[in-house]
Amino acid sequence: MLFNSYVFIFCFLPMVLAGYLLLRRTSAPQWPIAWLVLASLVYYSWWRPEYLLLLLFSVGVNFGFGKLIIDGGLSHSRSRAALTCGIVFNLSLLGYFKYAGFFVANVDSVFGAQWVVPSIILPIGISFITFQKIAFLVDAYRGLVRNFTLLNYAFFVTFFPQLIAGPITHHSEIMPQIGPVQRRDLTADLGVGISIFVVGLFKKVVIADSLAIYADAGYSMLRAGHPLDSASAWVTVLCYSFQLYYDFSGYSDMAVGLARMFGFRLPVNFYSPYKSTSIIDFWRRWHITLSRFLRDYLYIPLGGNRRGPVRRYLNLGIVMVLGGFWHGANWTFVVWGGLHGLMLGVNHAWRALAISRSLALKKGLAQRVAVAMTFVAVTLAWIPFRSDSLADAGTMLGYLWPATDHPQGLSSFWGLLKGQFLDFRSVLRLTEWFRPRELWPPLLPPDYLATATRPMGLLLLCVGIATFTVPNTYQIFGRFQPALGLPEETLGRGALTRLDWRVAFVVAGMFVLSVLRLSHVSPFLYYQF
Amino acid sequence: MSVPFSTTSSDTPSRGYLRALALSAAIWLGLFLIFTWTVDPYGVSPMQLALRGINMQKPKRVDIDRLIKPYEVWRYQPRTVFLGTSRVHQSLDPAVLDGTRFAPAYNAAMPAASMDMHAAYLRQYVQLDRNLRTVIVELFLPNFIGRPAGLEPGTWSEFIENTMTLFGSADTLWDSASTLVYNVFSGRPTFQVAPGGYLDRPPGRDTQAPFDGFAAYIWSPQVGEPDRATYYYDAIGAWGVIERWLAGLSGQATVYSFSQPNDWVDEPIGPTMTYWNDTFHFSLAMGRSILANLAGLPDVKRPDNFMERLTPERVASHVESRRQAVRRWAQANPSFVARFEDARQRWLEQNRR
Repeated sequence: MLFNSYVFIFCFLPMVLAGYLLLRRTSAPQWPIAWLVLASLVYYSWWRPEYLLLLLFSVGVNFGFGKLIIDGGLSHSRSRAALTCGIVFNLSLLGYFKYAGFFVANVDSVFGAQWVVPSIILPIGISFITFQKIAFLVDAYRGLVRNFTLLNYAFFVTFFPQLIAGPITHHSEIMPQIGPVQRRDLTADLGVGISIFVVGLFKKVVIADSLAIYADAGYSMLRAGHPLDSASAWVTVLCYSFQLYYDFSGYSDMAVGLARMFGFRLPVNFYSPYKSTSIIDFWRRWHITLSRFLRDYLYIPLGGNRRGPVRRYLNLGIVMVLGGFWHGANWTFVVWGGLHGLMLGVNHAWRALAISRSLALKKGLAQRVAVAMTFVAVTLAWIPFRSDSLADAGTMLGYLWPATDHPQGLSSFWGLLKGQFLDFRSVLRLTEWFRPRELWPPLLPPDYLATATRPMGLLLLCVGIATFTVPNTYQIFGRFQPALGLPEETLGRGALTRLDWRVAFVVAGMFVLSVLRLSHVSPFLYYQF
Repeated sequence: MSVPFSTTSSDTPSRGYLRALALSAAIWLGLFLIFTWTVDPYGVSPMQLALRGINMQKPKRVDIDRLIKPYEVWRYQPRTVFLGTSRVHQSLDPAVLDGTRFAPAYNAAMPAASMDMHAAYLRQYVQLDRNLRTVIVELFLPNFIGRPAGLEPGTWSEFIENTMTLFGSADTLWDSASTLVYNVFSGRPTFQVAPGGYLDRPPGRDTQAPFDGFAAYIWSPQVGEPDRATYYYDAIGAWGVIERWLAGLSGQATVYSFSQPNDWVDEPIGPTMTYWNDTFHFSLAMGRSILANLAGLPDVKRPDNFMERLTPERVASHVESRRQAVRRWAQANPSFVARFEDARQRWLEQNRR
């Protein structure tokens, strides 16, 4: 069940909210939490009921390890052994379901073996759930866990707004919010939560899905072995870059908004990453809770930056390659992670130089150049991330470069400019907008995306301007403390001073438009990781 | 770690914010319905308004047959349904059958439809349309070539989802806006699917030089698109398939042929053809005569052998007469045959490599 589906918005969510509001009136504080756990299990089983057993089994085993570590009275070494067993258990589940096929296929290909692995369906959200449970066990081992009961633990792991695609929460972030569940004024939380949810829904179904039309067409042509001219290749990678941005940003907003409807705050997971001035900055803004997990539970245990620069760069590389591999069992993700590891290393090396601390580089134009460079680097790195194979990624990179012997290199950009902006009669022919979904990619000419797909140019222009200039959701709703872990300058200073009827009118308009867009249901990109 | 709780440490929305949200959503939804039902880009609005300069032309009603036709079959409950490909889609006007025992009729043909699709949609239409008595199916040769995909009929949930897309989707909103803009600023007659379900061509669009178009069609796109070359060749060379299928079908259903050699079928290629839109699609005039013949209606003078009832015993002679006619045509047009054969050989060579 996707957040952007009729069944979720009009059936599941209202029912869960109604039940939650009713149960809050009972004297027992555990009932509303139990209700949310039950709803979360229904939400998870909607996809494949049989995998609910896997989730319950995993929750049970992890609870057992947690109990052993916290209340078992174990010695330090035995506690450590229990932690190790817990981590191995979780990684084994992840390894089997996500990586067994990949591993066998590679062994077969390298050694000519004939190993056969049955077709394994990846349980939805397993990557996120695994990391969350590992973080819990480590926190338990470090003595950071409080208020530990089976119900609370089940709630912490399965709470549906963050179950499938994060954010990856800490026990210490969620548990303190369970206690006062009955004291809250949920009318206020509903108002804020619904508004944030609608903003996220709009980002996903109106912006990301509109860009997906063009990104998918370009990558379909690539997969079919049909050439793209340079401008069309840039259109494809830019559309995908913004599509992924608004897809994940939208999902993160929806998760935060949903949790807030029930009176809970989730940690911020996405904070205008394309406004980053460096790759280091990017990873502090993109998938923040994953970066935090990798830093706290992988990078620092590996030694972090405490063992000299060489070891630091090596650690960064290891962490990013594994982070890439976590996104999917394909060499394309490994390469993507490796690229980011490399860029992080270069970025750290640059920062170690005295010149990087020059005041001139901290000012307006230099900062804008830094943002542009970071954006281009991140966008190029998305190519292997999106491609089906490394060969496809290499081909796409070749198309991007107009100086090759490609039939339409630099001249294709003139075609783009003319087709998308200067030829007013064609651009304003509204009946021909949004057509690529109707077409069969192998029949498209190489310059089709750049010259004929409309309103791609206007859309990219508007989205680009909005991405780099408009405040993000947390900056807009800052006064309402929308998420945990926000920068100090955001809290209490949101662009919106009041949620009144004017805001309601705009939010409702976004909601109606978003719901109307649901007819073309498309899954969140991050659900597949 | 200190966690801020929602209502103790943050500003709260104004009183009545949730009510304002609900009311605003209702207003937006109302505006959407007023706009889309007035402009009615697909011709499905319950208001059915025809406003000059607003919605007379419906350019967005093309290419959505798979979405709209099951809905219209359910809505109009026709007694007769046509199934077929683009030939039927753009040439059979169901209004010709008005007043006959076949009325009301609906053209449910879809461009590029396969026999599998016909079967799947027919099974769905039987569920959707309790009045359905007669189904007229086009037997188009390429539909019999290739492996059947075994398509399942559309489910009720798909039907409801598709119908919702027609009435309540952003596509509807966008298509309403573009329909309005088109009618306000242009208003020129354009391709659109008429209320009976058939493709209405704008005047003047069936007078292009069809032969040149066809020649270019075969000649230019050789690489990567071999289907175009084989398509025509197989249609000529697959007489065995035609005979086998016609013999089988005519034993089980009523089969009429309109492909006998005569002045209409062999209409010379020219800029103002009456019975053919192009080399593949017959015209509305031809379609009108086909329907008039089927319904026993008076029509313009037509060739004596225009319609022929096929029985298993007559199929062999029928196929032979058509085959002879094609040979005669080939002998009369040697340059075309040479060019075609040349194209075919080149295609075969490329595919051998």
